[in-house]
Amino acid sequence: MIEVQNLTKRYGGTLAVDRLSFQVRPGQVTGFLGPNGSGKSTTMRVILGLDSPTAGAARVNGRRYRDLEHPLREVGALLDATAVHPGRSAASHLRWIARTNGIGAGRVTAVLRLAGLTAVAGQRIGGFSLGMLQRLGIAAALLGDPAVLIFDEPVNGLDAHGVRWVRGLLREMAGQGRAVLISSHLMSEMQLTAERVLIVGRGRLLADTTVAELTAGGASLEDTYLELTEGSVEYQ
Amino acid sequence: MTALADAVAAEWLKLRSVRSTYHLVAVIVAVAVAGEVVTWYGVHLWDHQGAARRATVLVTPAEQLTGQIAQLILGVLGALAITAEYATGMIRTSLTAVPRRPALLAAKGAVLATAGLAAGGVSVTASFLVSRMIVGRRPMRFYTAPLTHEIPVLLALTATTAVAALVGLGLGTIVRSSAGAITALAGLWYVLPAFTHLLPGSWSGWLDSVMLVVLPQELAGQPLGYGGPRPLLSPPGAAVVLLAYAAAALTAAAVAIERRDA
Repeated sequence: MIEVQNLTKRYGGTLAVDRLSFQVRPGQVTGFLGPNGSGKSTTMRVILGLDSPTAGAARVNGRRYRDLEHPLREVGALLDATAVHPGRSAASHLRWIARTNGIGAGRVTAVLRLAGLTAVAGQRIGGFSLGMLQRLGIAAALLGDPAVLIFDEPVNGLDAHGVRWVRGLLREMAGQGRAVLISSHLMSEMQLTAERVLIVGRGRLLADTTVAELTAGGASLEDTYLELTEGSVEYQ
Repeated sequence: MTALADAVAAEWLKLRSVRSTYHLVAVIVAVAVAGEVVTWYGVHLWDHQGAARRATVLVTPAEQLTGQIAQLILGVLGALAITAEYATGMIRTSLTAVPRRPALLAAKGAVLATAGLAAGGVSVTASFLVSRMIVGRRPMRFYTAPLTHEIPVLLALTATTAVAALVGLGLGTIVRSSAGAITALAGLWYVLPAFTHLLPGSWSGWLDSVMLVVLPQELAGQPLGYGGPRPLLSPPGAAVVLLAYAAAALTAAAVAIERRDA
């Protein structure tokens, strides 16, 4: 469960997030949509304790991220799959992450298998394709078997098989009762994966509803999204 | 407490699992070997001089050269331990895994200080012992003191290597760029002492005595620059100053990492 209350984040003179409030509930995939620069990534960074809010708060399972004893056992996150040291092997990368939260080596083997990376576990990350990096990032997020998952653009760089794998995985995770928050630019993908959507523009919440409701009357999610965010696009 | 122990273990895994660590260790080994070649050449000269000219053969003790390089290399290693994370963006993964930032810094510090003690201790002691074996019983200058007399020198060089790693970590955390941190480190270590001479009398003497480059000799109670003046600081005084460098670097780093968005 993620709760964001009246969250405001200002960088110098730029208002990145403007009094944003929402909840991400367990048991469903929540899509986080908005144009570039609408504050999605900033919001995710605040939820994860990386950026501190100017005002308001974000809580995970009722607590600030920084107050979680073993955060990776409660929250799994993938923000930027390329943010890894290229010289480390996939297995070493997962091993150090697991070690920080007292997660056993068995989980490293398990998530490598889950992400289909067992065969390349010993190879240096520097040689990985973007799709493999996404798989590695997802594997890292799942290490602690967390009840909350946060993914920023998880299908970015994946081929058709990878996209289908992520879609299936996200729905399976939600089906197991986890709260899943994913941001994406791909509306057709969201229509297939998410049950709820949060739409933001210029840091403000524009819609907090279900995909079914947005697409009622035969409109595609993409049409409704473009209509909603029309006034929020900064660069056209 | 267990959380901190886990963070330390993870930092140790990080350090061991990248090649740059081994490359830096290889540089220390290479310089140590080069130091022994210089010692051997000094011995060769000494053997081929008349007795009158033998006194002019001065070979800087190998452990001094190795110690200085070990300090520089560990300073770089300390800086890279955090600047490489900023460069790749991996710092965000580290901070989601260990959200208490001073704990992350403390874990890195513990691993780097230990690495500094190990790398400094082993390289300096090996350099010293091998150079003494090369010189043998020849009464060459700097090589005549009994082995036990040199132990404080070895300990001082080792302790300074650990402090160098922590100063590197502190600078790296503040500057967040590898090039910037290494430049700052080299400036603090080698360039700044060249400028303290320019200050008026008493200031200059005091500042000279707290420069990182002279602290190992003061800590060991040795004359400055081999045959130079007695140091201003006593060994306990030098120890306090050395620890103050590490404490200042880590405190400033803790404030910086705590206050900034990652």
